[in-house]
Amino acid sequence: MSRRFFDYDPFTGITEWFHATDDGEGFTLEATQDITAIVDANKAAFNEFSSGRDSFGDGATLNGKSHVARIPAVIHAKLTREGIIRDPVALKRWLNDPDNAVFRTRPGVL
Amino acid sequence: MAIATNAFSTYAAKGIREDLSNTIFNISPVETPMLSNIGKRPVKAVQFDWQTDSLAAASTTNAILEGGDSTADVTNPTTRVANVTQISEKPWTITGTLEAVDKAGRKSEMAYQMAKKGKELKRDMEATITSSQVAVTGGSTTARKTAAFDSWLVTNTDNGNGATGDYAYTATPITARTVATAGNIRAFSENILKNIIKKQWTSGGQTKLLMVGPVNKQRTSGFTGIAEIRKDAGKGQATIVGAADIYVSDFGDVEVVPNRFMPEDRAYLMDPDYAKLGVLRPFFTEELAKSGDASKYHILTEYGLQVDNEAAHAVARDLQTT
Repeated sequence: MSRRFFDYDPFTGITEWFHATDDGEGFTLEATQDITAIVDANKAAFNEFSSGRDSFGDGATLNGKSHVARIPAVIHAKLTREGIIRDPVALKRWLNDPDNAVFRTRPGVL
Repeated sequence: MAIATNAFSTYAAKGIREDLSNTIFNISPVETPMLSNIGKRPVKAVQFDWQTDSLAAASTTNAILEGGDSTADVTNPTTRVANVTQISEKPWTITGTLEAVDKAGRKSEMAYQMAKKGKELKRDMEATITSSQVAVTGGSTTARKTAAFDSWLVTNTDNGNGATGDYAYTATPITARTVATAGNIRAFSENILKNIIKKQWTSGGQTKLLMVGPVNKQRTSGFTGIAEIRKDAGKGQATIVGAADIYVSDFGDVEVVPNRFMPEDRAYLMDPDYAKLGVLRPFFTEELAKSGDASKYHILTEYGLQVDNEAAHAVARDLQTT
């Protein structure tokens, strides 16, 4: 496999790499995104909410809906492809999974 | 692009249409949220039709006499709407020398170019179907164009200039909309968002996806309360735009996703279940007739947008773009 630069998107911060298969006919695209800022922002929101400084009705809502998660675009695309985003039960299960806690902006079981 | 006169072509279509199409659709899904979210359906003609129907408004005077006779209500026929397909392509050329030097390198270059052009083509499609483009039936000198998402939306709208110069159609949008004058351009606000959410809900739709350009994605994040969360984000603010925000309530979940290719002056509230990409010819590559010391290829697809029921979606237009 040889790796070759494919694309960089300054908007989402996603870099894509092109990997050709050994026979040269197939390929794999690898997308990487620096999610430090997203995780940091999520952590800040999460802690702010936990400390009671950001009360439930005070914001972080969109027309009565609560902001619960901020998911990096590459992971969101994966969830879309797997059908999780369009399935409310599966989405809640995913959001409640402790492994995905870094994407949550407020505590609690959904 | 003109059709070559007396062209004696050696079209050599690869026998991997369906696989290739899926491959291309899987390339960089982040960049094309509309294509990634709406379904696909095969279509068999350059003009494809579907029907929409609606129920009568709920009545509170539906009480009849005991033993009363029945008189049939007026039955409204379904509305038949249609769109046309559009052909989009990306051509590329590999020189004779590159063909000769290293066969493995050449194969790899082909795969690379196919991925690259496939991605570019997909971006073109995303930009096209999220634009204001109206349908063009086309002819021998005019390319066919499919009516894009915005041109279908006439029921649930929030425009800077109200209904003035709005799209109007019975079957296919063919008349362009007049953009609001400079004085009527507004900043995207929570009130505008609430207005279109309400209209969508009243029409029986359900907000599932709010799609906005980079500027309005940031502006959405600045709506009351959400700004609080952002204040600690510091210099990472811009980077956060590359994330999808999930909002939940007992009445359904909403995602806010950024779309770099849609017009910045708009915010689409979509129900992805009510839009599809009609595919007449899935992505395919083929070698074109050789006309010199190089091999020419193109990747091509023919597609059109089907908006099953425009009242399921909503749009805010004439928004500030900076």
